[in-house]
Amino acid sequence: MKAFIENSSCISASPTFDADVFFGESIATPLANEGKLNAQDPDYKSIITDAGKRRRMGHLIKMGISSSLSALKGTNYAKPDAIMTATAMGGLEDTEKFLRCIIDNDEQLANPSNFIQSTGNTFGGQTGLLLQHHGHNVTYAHGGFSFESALIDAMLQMADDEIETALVTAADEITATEYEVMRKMGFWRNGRMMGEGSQAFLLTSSPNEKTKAAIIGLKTLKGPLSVSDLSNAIQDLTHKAGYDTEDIDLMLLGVDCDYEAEKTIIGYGKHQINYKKWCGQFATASGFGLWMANELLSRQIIPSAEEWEAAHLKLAMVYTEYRQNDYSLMLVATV
Amino acid sequence: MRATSGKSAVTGIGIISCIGQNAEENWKSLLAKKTGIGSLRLFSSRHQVPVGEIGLSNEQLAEKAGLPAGKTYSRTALLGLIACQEALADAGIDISEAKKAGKKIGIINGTSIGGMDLSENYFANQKAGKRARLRDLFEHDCGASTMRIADHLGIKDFMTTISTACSSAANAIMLGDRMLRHHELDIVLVGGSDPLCKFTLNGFHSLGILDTELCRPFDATRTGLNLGEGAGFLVLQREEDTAQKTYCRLLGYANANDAFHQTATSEDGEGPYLAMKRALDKAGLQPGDIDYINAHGTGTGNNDQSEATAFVRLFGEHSIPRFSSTKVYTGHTLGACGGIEAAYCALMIKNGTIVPTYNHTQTMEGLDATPETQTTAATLKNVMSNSFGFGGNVSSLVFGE
Repeated sequence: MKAFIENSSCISASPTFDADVFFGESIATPLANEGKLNAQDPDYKSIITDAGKRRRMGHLIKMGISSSLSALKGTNYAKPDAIMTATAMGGLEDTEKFLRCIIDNDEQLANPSNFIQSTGNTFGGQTGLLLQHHGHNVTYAHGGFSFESALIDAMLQMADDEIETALVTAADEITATEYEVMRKMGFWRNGRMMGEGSQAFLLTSSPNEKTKAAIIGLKTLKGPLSVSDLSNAIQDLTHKAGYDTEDIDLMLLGVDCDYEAEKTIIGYGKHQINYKKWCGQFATASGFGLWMANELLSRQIIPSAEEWEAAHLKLAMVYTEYRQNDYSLMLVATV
Repeated sequence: MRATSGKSAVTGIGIISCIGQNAEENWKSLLAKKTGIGSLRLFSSRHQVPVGEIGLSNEQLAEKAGLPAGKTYSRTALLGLIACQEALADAGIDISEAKKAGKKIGIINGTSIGGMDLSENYFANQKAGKRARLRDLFEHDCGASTMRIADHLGIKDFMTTISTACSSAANAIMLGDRMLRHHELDIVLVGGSDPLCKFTLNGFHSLGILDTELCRPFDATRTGLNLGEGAGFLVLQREEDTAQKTYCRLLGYANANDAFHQTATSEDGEGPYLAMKRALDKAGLQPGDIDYINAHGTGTGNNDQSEATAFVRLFGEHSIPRFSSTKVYTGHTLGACGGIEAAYCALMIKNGTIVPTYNHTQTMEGLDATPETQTTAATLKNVMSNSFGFGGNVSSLVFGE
């Protein structure tokens, strides 16, 4: 399984929407708002120009559509062959509005617009509608495996020569209720912060002049995982792609728990980066990890204390943990 | 490992719906043309519309699935687990033995609503000033139901969840086939599960597409759909790995986007046409090779007109294959319908019998597309199953003997 990354876009708690600015300046650390890392929204007016449509879109859909359109911009693929979307929670805000409305008003005055936007596939469907795209269109909604499943689907269809291009987009949003539930569970401790965002990738089955990196391996792992389970999986994935673990230049770690402890346990990689400090914790955060891996490999840079500095990078692995339940590994190499 | 060129075989099926708690009961009801649609009893609602209820509480479902009492499971997880258990037993698969034999096992579930029935409890209790239990919200997301099913069955190698509204299960079947042929998995449970709940009932009510009487798919007098609940799962394995007699093979499939409207299907049936056409192409078949279509046929004015128009476009006005909608028996089971109806197709192929649409009296205006109204014995070589969802997500599957 392999897919080349032609272009990508990222909306996150950090100013990542303009990647040249984000990586061109000193390293930005996002500011938390009452323990939450809210997305730094781009100017949606300039991206989703139809005011009526924009007004009806919830935050999740605005983020998802904007990153998707931005990932397609400047490519030759106004209409990719397939659209795969990933969202663990879907339109959580609209779901809650609709649910509260039927409970508070004894099932009267329910707004169909909230119902329509609540379903998991709304932003995938809306993307299809906006692009007038009649190809394969599917939405994965499985916690920390959502984005990975969308990538697997795209790569399998490329391997089958059914598609040459795919738009793969992840999106999840913060809601007050989910934050509160997790707070009551004691989840937001040890520096963990809830995040949100959307990352979109235009993937191709063969490289072109714009391609800098490719996904060359992907594995989902169901927790609980022992250290040796994880180590074996890392070795296995690296070997399958024709590399040794010593070849891993960059380990991008998306850990929910204590980063320092986990870094030592995982061990691999000449350089290690805790990527969730820029995007926070959410189910599809691995999309941010992949975005950053692609950018760092393309730009040949790594973060130091305050600046991005030059580095020679060939192979990166993105390791992501979601609530100690869903784990994934993505192997990304320069082309 | 390179992908194998062979097809996937359906080696087991599991169904729970309002017309039966296992595949055999479902089949008997279908042959007897017995609908399971009746009045709403599962929860109180001011919208008294006919629905297809299974007639068991969550506690009764948990007991049926052999789950320990006192634990919280969403209705989606419970229905899905029961159908998966049946499908595995039907295929003669014991998960722990299969694991020992080195088989990679996965589950791909389609659901539109996940653990919404429990989320409803949380918000209702909160509103009533009662204790709202956090654990009622943990099951909310679609993936949680799949995780519960996988955990209980002991499946660890791969699990994921598809949420494309009413085509969720059909899309799960497609991914399962790809994973098998690329040797990412050796055995995969594919299908879907969706329960009746207040959220969906109110959602469909707010859209004004619920019939207040028994639905009438492809009938001139149709005015809407009836909601149902249930789960339908298939066990898929590479045909070269199966020694036993199988139900049928998955010959082709396609997913297309109608890209017309967020909830309605296009009048010219573009998405449905493309999905059916591409599924035939993938199967290497001609339109004339299809012996029967299990239509999506929800009974809404829009769906049936669009689907029948796509039939005319693909097959020609006077050569539409025999078709029927089984939603008049089960109700529209949303994310599960693609799994339940794929299992019905497997049973129809195996038994050489076409199950008709019931409650059909009047042909639609301007469309010469009349569903089967009599149970018919037929050799079914190639069968098509359609599932269309909100968001323009339409899917078509082709099964063959």
